[in-house]
Amino acid sequence: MLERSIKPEPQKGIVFEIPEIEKFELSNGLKVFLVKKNSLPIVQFNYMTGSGSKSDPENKKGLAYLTALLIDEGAGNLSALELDNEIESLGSVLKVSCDHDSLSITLLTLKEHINKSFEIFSDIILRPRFEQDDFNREHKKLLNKIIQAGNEPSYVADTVFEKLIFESSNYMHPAMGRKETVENITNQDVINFYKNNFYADNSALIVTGNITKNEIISLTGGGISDLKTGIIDEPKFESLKPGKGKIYFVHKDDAAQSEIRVGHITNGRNHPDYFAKLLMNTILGGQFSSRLNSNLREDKGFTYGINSGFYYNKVSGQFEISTAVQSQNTGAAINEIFSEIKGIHENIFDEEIEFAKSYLIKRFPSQFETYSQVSRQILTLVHYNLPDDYFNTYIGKIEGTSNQDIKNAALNYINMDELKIIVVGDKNIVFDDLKKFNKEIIELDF
Amino acid sequence: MKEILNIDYKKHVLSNGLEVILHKDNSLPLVAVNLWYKVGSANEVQGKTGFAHLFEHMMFQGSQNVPKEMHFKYIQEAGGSLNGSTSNDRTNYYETVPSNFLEMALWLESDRMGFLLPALTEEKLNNQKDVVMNERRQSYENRPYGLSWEIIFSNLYPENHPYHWPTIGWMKDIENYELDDVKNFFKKYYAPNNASIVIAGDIEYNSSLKLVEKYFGEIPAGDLVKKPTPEKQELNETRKIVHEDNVELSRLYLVWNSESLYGKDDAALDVLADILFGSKNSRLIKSLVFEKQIAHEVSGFQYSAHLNGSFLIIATAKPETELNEIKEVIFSEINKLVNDGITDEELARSKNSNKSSFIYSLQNLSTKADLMNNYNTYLNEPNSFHYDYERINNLKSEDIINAAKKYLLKNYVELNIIPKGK
Repeated sequence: MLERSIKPEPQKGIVFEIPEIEKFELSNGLKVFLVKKNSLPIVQFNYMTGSGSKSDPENKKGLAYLTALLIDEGAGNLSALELDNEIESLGSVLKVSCDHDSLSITLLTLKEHINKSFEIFSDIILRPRFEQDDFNREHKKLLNKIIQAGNEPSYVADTVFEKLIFESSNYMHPAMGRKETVENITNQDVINFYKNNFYADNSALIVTGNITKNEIISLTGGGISDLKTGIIDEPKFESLKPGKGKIYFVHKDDAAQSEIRVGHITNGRNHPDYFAKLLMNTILGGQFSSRLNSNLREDKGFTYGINSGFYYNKVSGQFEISTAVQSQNTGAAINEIFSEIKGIHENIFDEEIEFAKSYLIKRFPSQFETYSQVSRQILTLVHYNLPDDYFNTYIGKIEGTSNQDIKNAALNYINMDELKIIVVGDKNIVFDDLKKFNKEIIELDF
Repeated sequence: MKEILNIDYKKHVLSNGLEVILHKDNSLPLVAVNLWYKVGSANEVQGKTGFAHLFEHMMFQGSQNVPKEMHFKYIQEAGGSLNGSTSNDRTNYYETVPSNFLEMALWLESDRMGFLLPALTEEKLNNQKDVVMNERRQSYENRPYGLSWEIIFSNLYPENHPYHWPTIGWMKDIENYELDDVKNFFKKYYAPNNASIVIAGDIEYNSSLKLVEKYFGEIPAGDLVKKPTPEKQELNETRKIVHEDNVELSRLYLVWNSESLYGKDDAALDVLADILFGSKNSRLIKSLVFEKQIAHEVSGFQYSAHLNGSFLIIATAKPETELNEIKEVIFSEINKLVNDGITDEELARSKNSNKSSFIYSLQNLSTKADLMNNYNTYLNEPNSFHYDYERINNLKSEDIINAAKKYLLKNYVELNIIPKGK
């Protein structure tokens, strides 16, 4: 019999070369980031503007999102259906997405169809049609999407959480908007949003795949380099102070589980403590073997899963613990969450830190496997304006974070008194449990 | 296409019956390890449903030489990612790790194949029963439209058919799992001769095969498993089920018995699905969402499993629309397609999308490894990428029309999910 009791050690080191990023500008100043990847005849383009739903006018929340829904519904000489037919017939994949800080258009194409695909992609960016009929259809679709999302307990919890965390700032509103704000939006609003936010100066083009700088320049020559330049007014962001932690409750009839969110506002992505927070959170709730998941799932069986994270928008961030638990265990689960936060304030063991460092460092190469993974890495770089050598110094920064830095991150960036607790569940089952926490409980409608 | 879809491999069968498939791809210092156990929910019996899925949990709870919680931890510490999934016919377990950790991955996989039971305790079982019940609450009970799946399949297949119950199992069965039953299920199905392993990535053929021999070679073969062989499934009547849920938009499901995976009409049904609801220009989306504007969204697919297939059309109504109105349009579009055929443009569009998605799917080692296991299991040839692509590329218009005629003009299951109290 083979001796199996000892875990085999890795045979040798591995060599991983961080992909090189070529950076250049088109004639109009649009920044292009190119990563060559030649394993398959594929090219992925990501066009990103630095405007998203944070730029929505006060009574028209959802405008950026609706613009994203409409921007590929017809462009240049093509109607909505013609455009989609062309893209499908080329076998290309086109996606538009929108969040608080950005609106992105992604094109994945085979190299053999790059000219035609890119022509349509450019038309979408430069010459969207925004016809009234298409507006009427997509406007109704968005209103129905909002109804549907409101039936998802997890969406309700996320949305209420964001609203409470970012109260009074542009980040407090869901990207989709709300029924009453979306109803105010007209096609002219969409056209204006497009005009005011699609500038070369606040956009970037990220290209990954089997393509050279010269090919990109000749592709964009007749198209994207026409994108006009101009200055965008960045919407104001009030710097927020988290208040005293309270419990917020939304009732859902016959809910089979309670959705729970716990957290508060934190500072932004570019803060020097980023890596200390990342390592600390890896131990607390950032992966399967974390303290939170080991306790609430693998020990107590309260949930299918629980995680925590520091999530960042452009100028700020949030610390958030997220889970769904059986209704009867709602109070017990919140208790365990508190005790894990107390625990991480009190002590972090050296072997946990070694594990977290090993986890983050060794998985680094796997983050560059697919074309969209590579693009996403570059997008992060551009979006948060991270230094050019970010990937080259990544491993060194993790190695160089001291145990004390990591312990301080827990103390400095998770504040027990300021934690907001959101519960979406069945009042009849969970409410008595919540009263036991001696915190103010505020009931909300969604 | 032939060249790019030609995925080189070496295959070897160990003396205990374990099939080993190796594929070398040195583009990154990573290796994907992918195990298929030829056991799924179809191997379960009424009263004990969900066992195959339960093992997707128990297999991560440690084995004789791997303490509880350490399976995940060792792989994560090495920078790997890991998971598993359960279907009607098989369960897969997989991880992608930096290539110098291949031996550790094989040690972990072999320990849970050969030495799981000594470490499988009542306490672990009770804990994971709770976790699975919470998975069920989260993904089924508490999710809008979440119970549709099990309502459809328990009506489409009679009670004694192995596809009658959901892969996660009925809640009352999960509550009552007994340790002895669970152990017996493992003994029966988790043997090397009921499994295959694909190793794809930055590897050397000879040394990798030696490592597989070293860790898996001494695990004894199990008794040969009898495969479920239900009779060919035909619905003898059309059934309509109305179910109230916590939703505001009603949803219609129409489901037919169809062709099994890699069966004669399977590819034609894939293309039929694409032509009916695969893109904005597809027949039903164009008609219901763009022209008549009575549906919020339309989707569906040819769901082909090993023993049987089913063809699903799913349409969510706008708040002001009745489901019957949508249903009428769907049937009139089906009849139009059967009577008037499809255009060359529709067929070409579908074929081109198919071609690119094949190439896109090669980006990811784990996807490639899983496909090789799939091809090996059902086609007995791991390098069937080009064959699979040609299944669609060789289709003619008549094939699509004939498939629609053969399957969609028969009895079906209709499910209406409607708002509570409406």
